[in-house]
Amino acid sequence: MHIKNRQLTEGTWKLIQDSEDSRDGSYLLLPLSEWIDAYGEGSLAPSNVGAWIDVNFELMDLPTIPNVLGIHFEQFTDGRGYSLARLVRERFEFQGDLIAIGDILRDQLRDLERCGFNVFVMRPDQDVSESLKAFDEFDVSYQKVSSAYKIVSNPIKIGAD
Amino acid sequence: MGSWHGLTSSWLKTSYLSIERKMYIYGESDQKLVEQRVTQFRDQTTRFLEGSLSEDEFRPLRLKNGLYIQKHAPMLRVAIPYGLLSSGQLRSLADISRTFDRGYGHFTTRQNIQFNWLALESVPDVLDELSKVGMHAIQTSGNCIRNVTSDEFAGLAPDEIVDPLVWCEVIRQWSTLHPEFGYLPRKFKIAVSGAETDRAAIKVHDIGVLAVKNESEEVGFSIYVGGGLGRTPIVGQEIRSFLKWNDLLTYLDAVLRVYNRYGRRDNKYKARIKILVKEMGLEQFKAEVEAEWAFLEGKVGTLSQEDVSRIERRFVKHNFEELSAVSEEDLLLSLPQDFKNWCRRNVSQHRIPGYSAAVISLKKSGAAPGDATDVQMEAVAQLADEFSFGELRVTHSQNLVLPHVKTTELFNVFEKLKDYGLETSNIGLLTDIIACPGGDFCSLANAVSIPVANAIQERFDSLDYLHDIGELALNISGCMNACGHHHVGNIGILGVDKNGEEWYQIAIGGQQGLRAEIGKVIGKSFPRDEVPEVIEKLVNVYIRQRESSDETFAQVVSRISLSPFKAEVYGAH
Repeated sequence: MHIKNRQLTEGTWKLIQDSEDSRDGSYLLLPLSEWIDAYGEGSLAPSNVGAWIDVNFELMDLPTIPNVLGIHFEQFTDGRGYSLARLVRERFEFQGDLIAIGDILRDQLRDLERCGFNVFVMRPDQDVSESLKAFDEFDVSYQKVSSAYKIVSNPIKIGAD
Repeated sequence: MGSWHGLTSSWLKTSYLSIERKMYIYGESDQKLVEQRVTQFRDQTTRFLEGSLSEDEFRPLRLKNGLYIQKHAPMLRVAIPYGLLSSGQLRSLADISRTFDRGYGHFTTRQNIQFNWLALESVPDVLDELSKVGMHAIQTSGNCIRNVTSDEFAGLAPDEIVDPLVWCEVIRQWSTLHPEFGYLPRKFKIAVSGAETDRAAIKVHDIGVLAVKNESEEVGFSIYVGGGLGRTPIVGQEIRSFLKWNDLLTYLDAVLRVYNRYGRRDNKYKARIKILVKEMGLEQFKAEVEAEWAFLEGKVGTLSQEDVSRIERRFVKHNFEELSAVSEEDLLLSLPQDFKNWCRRNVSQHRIPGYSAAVISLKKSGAAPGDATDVQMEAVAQLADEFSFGELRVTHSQNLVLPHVKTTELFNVFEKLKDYGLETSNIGLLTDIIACPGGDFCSLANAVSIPVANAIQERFDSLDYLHDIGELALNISGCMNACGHHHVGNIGILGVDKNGEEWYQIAIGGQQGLRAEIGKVIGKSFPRDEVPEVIEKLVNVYIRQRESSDETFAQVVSRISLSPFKAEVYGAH
């Protein structure tokens, strides 16, 4: 079970670390190099196969952005993934599924979403359906977010009434 | 702290009544956000207490809401954004201290207030009470952008070029629950000033924002980065001399993004932005920020005049009367000496004729620096209502200010302060000690701070002598984290641990402000009971060596070097 666009969704994305890992599963996130080898610059990759990068990845090194991109959080306290997500969405105007995977916990979901993630593969011990509540904890926020990203939790303007 | 020297002709000529001082009043959205944060935190606390949220998972969440687990009980740090406080808010703080704590609160060097004796279970209720008066504990701790601080005389100081309060509020809103910067490598502090004299210590902050005007009288900002105290004290460097006002937030986003991505996360002692700037070099860091900003400039976060006006409108205006200026001679004529001393030390000029800013010292000898009891807080709130449009300020030297008192009412204010032990005339003097809570409360501390401060205050109990010494900043920290800003004290005292015993290392020559300097250690450290005598010896050298009473302690240190001070303290070698 994972979350996509704030909905509980069957199945889960599997993070493939190396060639030893089994490719069984309905949704696969391949290492970036493997994805590029398989699909090149093309956009012909199936929608259930994406690539993943670490939170410290240098986006400028990316020859092409896969149609499905996972950002892997080793630790939920590593904030680099938030900046990376905004860069992917705002600078590269990425419109595909942006997946947060790894140490993903309920209390970080809302900010992750505001930075551009729309798919969440939570740490296995998390109660996924209970975690959906996190998206509704606030009706307001001060920061303006990019128009490139569509799921926005009722942003208000700085100084709004 | 500027003292009250009567009136100068230059500012008498200008009428400032058109830019009346004011306080920010929450709109519906501001209020809703704070209330929803309380609900969220209550749920997080419940999940922690039930066991579904582990200690490691709860820690960053509670820290980002100002909650520390301390020696005796949890400590809650409540935000007082840029030190601006209403009488109603102060009453609520008094009430909270009485109901949930032990009847007092501790004002901090970052203009916040801390409660040291709360029960964890009661914290959501305390936050609930705070939200009713538009207060909260959001981002007063944790690895995020902390509560923004400013000049305690913002909006009223005669030497002000740009009123920083609106910009403080812009930054407060931008930084509050910013989605991208909630898990930075380390804490991040921003201070804003808009005056010729820096009273906000902007050069010892991660980012210092100095509001300025260019030749065309346009408002903009000089931006300083990489300042900070703690283990590695560094004075911030200018990264941008003039940033147009509408670019403020996109530029801050760029700085924060570079820090968030490249700041060290492998070692918490090297994780502050100052280390990144140092390791990268200012030029390289600046290039990274400019490259990032090139993509953000003019984009979605750019401020419009409308954005700023919306915030300006939320600052309610006070009805200042058109008064004639009162000269120092007229004011002090035939009034008692203790009042004269208080005026000299505790009263600052206001840019509106006939008004003054009165600083209320929380540094009475024998009390913990920065502490105020519930009764004192109530009394000060009452004075604010009667004499200062219900407005108060908290200073970074841990005192309170009645910012807009009619000069002719100062004597009444002074007399009323006496009833509550709040009339101490020592602002800027040696006994106006900045101190962290220290080992009595804080689990990080190596040594106590408050008893050392008290022992020094007792040693210098003659007010005449204190006034004769003149301005001298003495700062005490109980450990390397430097919450008592010991590095920038003219005399800085640092508690160190030597085989389980409390010792104190002493540095001299530090100073705050735009000419900020880090103090130099004079030599080996001292046991606690020797500290007051050492301070006395250092002061004696200063008194002997100064060329006039205008030459400050820091100036003397810089002129004659450390040697005469060392010789006095350690004896000739």
